Amino acid sequence: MSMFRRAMGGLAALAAGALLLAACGGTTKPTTKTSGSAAAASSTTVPASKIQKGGTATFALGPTATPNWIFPLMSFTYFSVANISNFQYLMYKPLYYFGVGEKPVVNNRLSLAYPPKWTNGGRSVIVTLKPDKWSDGEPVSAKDVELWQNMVTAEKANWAAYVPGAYPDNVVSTKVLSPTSIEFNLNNAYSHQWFLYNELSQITPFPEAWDVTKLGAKPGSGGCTTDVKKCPAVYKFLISQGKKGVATYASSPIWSVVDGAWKLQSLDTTGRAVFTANPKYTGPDKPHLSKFVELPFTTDTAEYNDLRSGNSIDVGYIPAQDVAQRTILASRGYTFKPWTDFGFDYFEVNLNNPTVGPIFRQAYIRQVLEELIDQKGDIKAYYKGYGYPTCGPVPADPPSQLTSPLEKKCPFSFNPKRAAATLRSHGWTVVPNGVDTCTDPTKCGPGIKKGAKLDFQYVYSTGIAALTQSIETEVSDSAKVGIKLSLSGTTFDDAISKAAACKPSQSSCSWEIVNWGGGWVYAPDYYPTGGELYKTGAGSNTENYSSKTMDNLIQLTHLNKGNALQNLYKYEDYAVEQLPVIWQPNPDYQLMEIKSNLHGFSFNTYLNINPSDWYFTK
Amino acid sequence: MAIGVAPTGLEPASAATTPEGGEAQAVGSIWKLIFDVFVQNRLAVLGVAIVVFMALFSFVGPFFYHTNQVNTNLNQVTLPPSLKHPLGTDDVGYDVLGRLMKGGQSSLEVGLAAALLASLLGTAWGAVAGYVGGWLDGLMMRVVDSILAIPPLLLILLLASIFVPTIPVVILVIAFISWLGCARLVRGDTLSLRVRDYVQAARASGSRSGRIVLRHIVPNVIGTIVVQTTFSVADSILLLAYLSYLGLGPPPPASNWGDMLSNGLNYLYDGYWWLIYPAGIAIVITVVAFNFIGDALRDSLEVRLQQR
Repeated sequence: MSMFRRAMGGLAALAAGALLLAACGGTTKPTTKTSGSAAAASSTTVPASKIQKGGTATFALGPTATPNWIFPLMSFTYFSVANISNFQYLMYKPLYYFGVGEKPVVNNRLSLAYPPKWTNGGRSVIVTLKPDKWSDGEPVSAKDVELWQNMVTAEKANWAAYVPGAYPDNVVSTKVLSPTSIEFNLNNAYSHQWFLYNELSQITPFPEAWDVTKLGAKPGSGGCTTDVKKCPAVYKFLISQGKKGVATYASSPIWSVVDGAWKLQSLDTTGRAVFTANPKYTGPDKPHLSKFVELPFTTDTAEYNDLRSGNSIDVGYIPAQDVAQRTILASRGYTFKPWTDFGFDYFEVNLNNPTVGPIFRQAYIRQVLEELIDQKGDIKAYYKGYGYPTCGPVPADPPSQLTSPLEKKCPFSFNPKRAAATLRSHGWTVVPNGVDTCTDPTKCGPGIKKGAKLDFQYVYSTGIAALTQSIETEVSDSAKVGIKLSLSGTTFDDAISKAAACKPSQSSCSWEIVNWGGGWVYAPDYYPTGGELYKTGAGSNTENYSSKTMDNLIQLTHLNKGNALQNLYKYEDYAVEQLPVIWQPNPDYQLMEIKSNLHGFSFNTYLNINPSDWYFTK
Repeated sequence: MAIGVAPTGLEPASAATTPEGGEAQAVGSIWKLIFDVFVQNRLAVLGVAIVVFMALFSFVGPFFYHTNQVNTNLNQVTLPPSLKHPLGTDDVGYDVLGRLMKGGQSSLEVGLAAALLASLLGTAWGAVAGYVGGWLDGLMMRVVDSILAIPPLLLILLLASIFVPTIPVVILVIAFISWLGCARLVRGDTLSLRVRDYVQAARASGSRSGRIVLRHIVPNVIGTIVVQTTFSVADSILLLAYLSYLGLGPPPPASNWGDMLSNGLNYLYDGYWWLIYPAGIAIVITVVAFNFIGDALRDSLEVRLQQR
């Protein structure tokens, strides 16, 4: 099991087809519901007479990964699956929803808008909204899209998915054509599919009730919908409402205006979230359940203890170390199925740290760190085979032509001997089970002084036993070549907040290595260009990586000039060799255990959950 | 050694009348009396034997039983007990028997160091408060009361989450919440000692307050301190186990019995008993042993007082 931040951003058209795998498109509305849980894949039809109306379903959150932010335009600190897929999407629907069952395609049925229409030679796109309504009775309108657009334009620096040069920079202007239509005018003729999958996919319309600068003000009085210059004040107000604390979210007059199928009944500081069906929901898939509850856990073992009791969790997961016992859970009415995601796993090193940043800025050092991770061994011993090695930014599973030949070769796989040799050849005196020292600064690299030590502080997310074990092994293997990693455990939420983009002079730049126990899921765009992760100044480039070559290669994939797949390979190969972050084993997202009488669960490859589809059978 | 200085407080007493605090005894006879009472307590002897065994096991054992407790081994994860690994291997491939020794070092070091530090601080705080009295006593004891009002586990979790939990930090954190009881006890004893004749005499002869506290007060509460320290060792070992069990102890590759127990519980349902029982038993018998010793010391020192 692992936990992820989400990604948005990035690119192209052509290879979308490659990754679509065998997907037949997302426009077909299912005519029958399939039985959920693990049976989601079995297409068992459940007669309507057997579907139970109402009931409460419980969903186990990942260890220490809890919802802690409600405003959808968020900074990197809150950019997590727990906040987006498991929380915000239930209340605030994105313009375009992704994933039809397990298929990685746009879900037109659950989207707020119809498929976009292109004009002006591909330089303009018109989005038309469906007739949905907010819970305050107002229609979901083109102005709500414009409110988002203006807000993200004004506050792009505070948005985790911002990619310099891409969205929203490439939107020259917007024009509201009618209450339900809005036109985006672009600075180039972009690929239609790319713009849908990687840019329109990022939009979550905001209600007019949010365009205010104080509580009780008239909706729209903030002026952000019509004037970008007025957005900072509105943003500041909304952020202040968000910072009032999670316990205030349910009763907030701001956050209680929703267009999703669910309303927040309560959220406490432990992360326990209770949702009730939104009685004013106007979209498709009205909930069968009357209540949906998310349960927080501090460790996967605690979750498993609860799961074994068989009483409180309807949708949970079995830790990798306990997977041999899934037959016991089967006897207690659970069905097992791994949940995989389209993502990759890594941890970050701070290239801007004033002390160790110069060391991390050396590509050979990052390659050495990579060669000290026994990914295959970890997967076999700790993840019990449920996972695959990460060798680059493009997920190797499901197999696709998007993975370049070089990434498939995994050029920096586990090899401590080569790691030690590399260090020696770069002027380091290697002291096995000691601490290596730079003795020849001319070879160590720019900015590294004589006597510099390979001694790093390593913050990691606790709670997942298999992750802790793999990190412990990494520490051990690193020690063998004289790299000292001093561990410090914390929660997932705290870990991602520590990994902050920073300048060397800032106090927040003191972190050295952060591993939040997961990596990144490409969602809602699944075209893995990595712009938001590695482009200079991107919102989620918290490792502070900066390379003109990388920027150009990423930009090339955005522009879709020439052979798009080859362009992707060029970026990918450069990332494989540069290692802006350190790849680590990518376990299955969760090894799911679902109550057999609960149906409708989809193993969404982007990790979105849609409890509106869930139901119990009589 | 501690009791050897007890007659110091009796120096001013007149030989013509029964001195306050009883007849002074020869140092050797007091030691013998205490020892005799102590060894009559079979549980205390058992406690000492266990503590000595655990200390030898943890600190001397690794010289005879060589294992790699630095590098993990993916090829021997959770192996059951065998001739090669008498207590099996753990979840990252460490030999459990060797790990038990290494964990014992941390547990005993933290237990002893935290208890000594707590006793030192508690003694100084309580003696000063009790001797000086007045508003300072009130202030100092309200500080103690305030900290005592916070549930110790909550306080220790808070502190452990603020600071990076290295061994020295854990010692300081545990000592910080453990000195309060000692301070109260010492302060109580000091309140009665400060009005004794020999203390008054020392004051009349011009002794400074610091000297009086160090030479006449503290030596006479040493029994209380020793007993409290002994119990505190047991408590500190348990607190370290709590912290580690909750994931707030020193991070890997450091190890202690609580950490081993915590890791082992991840495999509670897998039948890997060797990851749970050895560490659990080590904690229990060591803590019980220190409690046996503390009980016996209290009885022994009580005898000393009865003899006065």
